[in-house]
Amino acid sequence: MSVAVVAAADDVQPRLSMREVSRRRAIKRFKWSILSPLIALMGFVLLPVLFLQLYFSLHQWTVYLGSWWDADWVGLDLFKEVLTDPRFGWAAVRSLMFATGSTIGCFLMGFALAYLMYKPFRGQALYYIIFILPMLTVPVVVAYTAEMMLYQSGPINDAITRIIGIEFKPAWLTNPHIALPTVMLLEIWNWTPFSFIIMLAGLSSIPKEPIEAAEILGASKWRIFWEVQIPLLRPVIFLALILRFLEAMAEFPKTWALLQGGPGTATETLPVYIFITTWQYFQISKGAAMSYIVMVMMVVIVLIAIRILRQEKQTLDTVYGNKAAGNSGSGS
Amino acid sequence: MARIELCNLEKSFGAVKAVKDLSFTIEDGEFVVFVGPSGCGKTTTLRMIAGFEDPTSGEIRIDGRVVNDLEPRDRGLGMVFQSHALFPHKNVAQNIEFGLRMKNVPSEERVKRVREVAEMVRIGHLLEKMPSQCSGGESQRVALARTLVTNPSTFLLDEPLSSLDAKLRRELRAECDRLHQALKRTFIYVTHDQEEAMTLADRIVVMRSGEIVQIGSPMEIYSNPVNYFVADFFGSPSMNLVAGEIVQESAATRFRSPAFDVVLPENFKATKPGAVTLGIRPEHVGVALGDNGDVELPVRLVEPLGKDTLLYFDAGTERAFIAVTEGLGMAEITAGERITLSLDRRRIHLFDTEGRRIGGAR
Repeated sequence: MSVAVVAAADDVQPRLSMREVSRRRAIKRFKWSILSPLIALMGFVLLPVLFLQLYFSLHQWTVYLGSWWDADWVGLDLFKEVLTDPRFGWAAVRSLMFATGSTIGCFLMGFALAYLMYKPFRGQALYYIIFILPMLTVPVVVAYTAEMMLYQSGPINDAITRIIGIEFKPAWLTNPHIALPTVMLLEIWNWTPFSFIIMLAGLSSIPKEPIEAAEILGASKWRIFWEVQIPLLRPVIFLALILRFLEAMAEFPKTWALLQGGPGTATETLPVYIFITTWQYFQISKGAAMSYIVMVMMVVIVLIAIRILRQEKQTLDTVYGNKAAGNSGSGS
Repeated sequence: MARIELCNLEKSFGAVKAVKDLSFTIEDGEFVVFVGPSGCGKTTTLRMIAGFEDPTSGEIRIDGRVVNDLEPRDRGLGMVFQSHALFPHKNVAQNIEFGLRMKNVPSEERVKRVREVAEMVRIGHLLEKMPSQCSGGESQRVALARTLVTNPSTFLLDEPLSSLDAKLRRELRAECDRLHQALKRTFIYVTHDQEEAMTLADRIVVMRSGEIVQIGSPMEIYSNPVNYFVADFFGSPSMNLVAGEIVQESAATRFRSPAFDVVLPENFKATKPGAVTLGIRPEHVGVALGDNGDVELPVRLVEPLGKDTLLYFDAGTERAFIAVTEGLGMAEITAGERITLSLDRRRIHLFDTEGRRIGGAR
């Protein structure tokens, strides 16, 4: 290869062998066969929607007053309106609180369950299925079931009262101070299995020798956990947190089915506020502008997440000395 | 001080008995090597001593004290793993000092001790490196240092060299030997490599299918194997084993096979006629160019190794019959040539159809 490069100095293209030519052609064909459905999806579905949203967010359209085509051009007014809308700001804060709280909750619960489960024992498969079940439940069903259970005079308060022997009657759904935490609890119940699966896979993939080595060197279970298992799990932990956070930012069905943003605006997260603006106030254009702003916000979060994950992958590579990657790169 | 007694030790994994009724005492300061083919229970035995596996029944005693219920960290042992098992996220110095930190040794002393053991296994220059930057041999030295620094009463080594290439293996084998001599600690070493067992051990424990087949010094194992399995397992090139039968003829006991007809010495006189396997090590087969010998065989292959030359003969058996001659004197022989061989009578072994050795022990 290096000889060919030297020859190319005389402005002569290095001659490729027939095998090399056909190999490159095959790779190109393979790349396009994989990419083309994605590009088609992008071109025929996503791009039109994005352009329409952009059109609506720059034009004031009131659905019942005229054709969408005749909507008035308003420039960036709607964006200005959204960004100065305190209700939007609070919705963003609530979304972030909701996502952060439920992500941490899901992670802690999921990790704890995974830690109890990662060593094989009798009946493991049964426990596994039980722990997975919440994730397979439809969010709306979760919400309506929870609504029945959480009424002030409902079974949950009743059971707790009987157990502790003191009157226990929090208004889970109507007290504005605890409504958002209630939805968080539901989210945690619903999605702990997701963190559980990821952490279980992570825990089972740690080689057992370093743990045994630490054990015989005198480390307690606690120190093995903090000094060996956690550092080796770091990339997996970040993955579990990031994926869960992004999902939680977009949570809508449970919040809507349970409380429609109420009491007051206590559970009005970004998706709820966008829905209310668009389909209850019929301010379609304002809703479109909000969606755009939220999209930009999410893109920023995703970029940060990708950066973190890439860094984690790098440490993983140095830790495990990724020699295979170095070799395959020199071929092209 | 560490005298380790294994009493009627058993271990089952479900229906599989990995270790069967094993009783054996390892004396203080001894270098004991457990050797056998994979799946013979040697690693399971070591892991029971370490405390990673609970015996199904039986007792493990260290200095007279039953340790079955003690955690690995409370047994005062050190272990080196086949995969090195270094902590990949800690550098070499942090790896080595781990055991000291767990015992709350103050930091100045930790630094001093880490330096000492690093020099001892010659990795002083690696302390700042990450394990992924170390070669296989260096990693295993780090693993040794990490175990050494905690000053254990006994070293458990689980096939420590099997992931290394031949040259490094020899080098680190010598290192193990040197450490054993310098530290005068008990070493329990598990390997499937008979050569490692022969060179390192004070005593070898040969295991097969969960049972001890033979215990003895390397020389005993080599020259008096109790059965076909041990005879075949030890020695490189391995012992010549020829299937045939015993025939009593005119007051002499003879061994006959398609290629051989050998008069056996006095000590086999009582052997009953019937099918047997004759065993003789390649170095006890004499090569003579004249006619004075027991058998004349065609050469199949000549392998000059420099110091010795190996001659492979066609004896009508699946495996070639091998003879070793010193130097390169025989290197010029070509395949197909017929050569007369004489067997050293005192070194002949006979094994019955069950594989047990028949008489003739010296």
